[in-house]
Amino acid sequence: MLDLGPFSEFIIAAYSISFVTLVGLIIWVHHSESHHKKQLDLLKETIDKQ
Amino acid sequence: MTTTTEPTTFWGRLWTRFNNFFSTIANPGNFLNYSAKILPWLAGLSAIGFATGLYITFFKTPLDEEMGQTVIIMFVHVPAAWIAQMSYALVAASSFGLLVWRHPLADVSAKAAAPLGATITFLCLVTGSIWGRPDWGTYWQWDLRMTSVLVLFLLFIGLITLRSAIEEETQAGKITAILALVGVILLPVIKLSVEWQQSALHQKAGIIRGEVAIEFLIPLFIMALSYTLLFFYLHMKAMRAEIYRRRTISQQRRLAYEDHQD
Amino acid sequence: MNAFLALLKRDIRLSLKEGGTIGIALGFNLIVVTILPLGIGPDQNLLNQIAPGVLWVTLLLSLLLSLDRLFLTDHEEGTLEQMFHGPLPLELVVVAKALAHWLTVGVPLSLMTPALGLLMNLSTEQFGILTLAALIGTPALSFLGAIGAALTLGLKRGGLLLPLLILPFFIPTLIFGVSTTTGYLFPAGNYDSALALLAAISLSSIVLAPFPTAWALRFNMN
Repeated sequence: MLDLGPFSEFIIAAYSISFVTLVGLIIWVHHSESHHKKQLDLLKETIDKQ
Repeated sequence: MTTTTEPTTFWGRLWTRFNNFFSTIANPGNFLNYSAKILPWLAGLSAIGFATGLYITFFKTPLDEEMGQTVIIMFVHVPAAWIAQMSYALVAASSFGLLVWRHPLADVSAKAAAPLGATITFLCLVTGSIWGRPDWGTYWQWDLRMTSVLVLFLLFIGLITLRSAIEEETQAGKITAILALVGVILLPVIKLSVEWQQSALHQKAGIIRGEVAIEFLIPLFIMALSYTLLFFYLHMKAMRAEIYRRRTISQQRRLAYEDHQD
Repeated sequence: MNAFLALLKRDIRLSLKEGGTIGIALGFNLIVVTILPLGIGPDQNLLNQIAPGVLWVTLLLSLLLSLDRLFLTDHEEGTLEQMFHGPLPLELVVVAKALAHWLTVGVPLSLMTPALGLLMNLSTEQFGILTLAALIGTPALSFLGAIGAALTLGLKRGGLLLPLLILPFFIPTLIFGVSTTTGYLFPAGNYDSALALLAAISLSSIVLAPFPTAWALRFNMN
């Protein structure tokens, strides 16, 4: 494992902010895709019942 | 898009081919099909890339005598800067596609790319600022790169707020597209003027001094590639969400119209 | 040409008659330059140093205040709709309106610079060049601002959105405008090249900006 040296907290901050944000984006796009798909499917069901 | 009479010139035929190809990939239904096939590959490759990149970064990178270990911040900062610019180029290209071909999928693409681009531009600013503290001794410096990324971020914010301020969606898409294209023309001018100011104020080089050593280039390249794959994954997902949303709205409209007919 | 001049005259007359636009722009510029030294402290040397930058920034902000009215009055009264079908192409309508805006807001604001320079302890020999730079640079602001005014036309809070959209586009004018006096971009006293760059930005804005503006107006009016 790399010795992070005297500025380790800056390195850890940069990496954790980056990856937390990226994971946040992944969760967001997944959530919004499944949410809108569900809405569309629900609507199609009601249309079919009519 | 498809022309009925076959053009006789070579370029004419090429143009028809291109238009046919374009309308095939730009059909929202087709997009949903092929993006479903591409998405797992993008996700898998980018995950493998990030794992390899992070492994090399934290276990294989030698200590850089000149810059210290903070140099590895470059592996998350520089790809973010690259994606920031690429995503604006994507918004601008999609806007051009919308205004020229009037294709709704271009608008879906522009709309999906803007918030992703804004977030990653913000990430670029934050990591750059964190890197600046140990490297320059300050969190913020008005150097060319940071200033132009900040301007880019402001342009993204402008695009997002303008779109959300206009209620009618097709109009919102067109109006935002004009702003994106004006921005793409003015961005180099802004950058040039800042560059002139910088070169006169202080001759200090930006972030990377001298040549980047080869052992830094390999992880940088891997991380940049993974970032790019991840960005396209996010963009495709966001586009799919937007297509479902628009379909729901048009179905609701149809339903309301049919109810009204009864 | 006659239709163009007639429109220009009409717009100038209207904004002079309304009076509010010019008054607000000039008053705003004065009040900001008044409260700034009160916030910073009355250090004459410091004020002298930051004067060109401050005067340019307050000029941009004051000019922005009046931009949202550029098409709005005509839009609300329905005259803009008539201009669509009038003898002038929409691009020239935009040119006339932006030009009228420059003449009635940009020029007065530029001419106000020496008075505000006194408040900021600006060296007297810089009054002339700063005013000249403002006169040459402000057409770019009016014409680029017209794009923003057209994009936000008819929005409920368009006036608030406008600065966010347009201020980044004002950066080149700001940088070259300030550089005429501070001498950091070009050797002090040698401001020809800075003025030439300002003129280049203004001229290209006059030529190019009316197209996206007219485009946005068409989208926003149909």
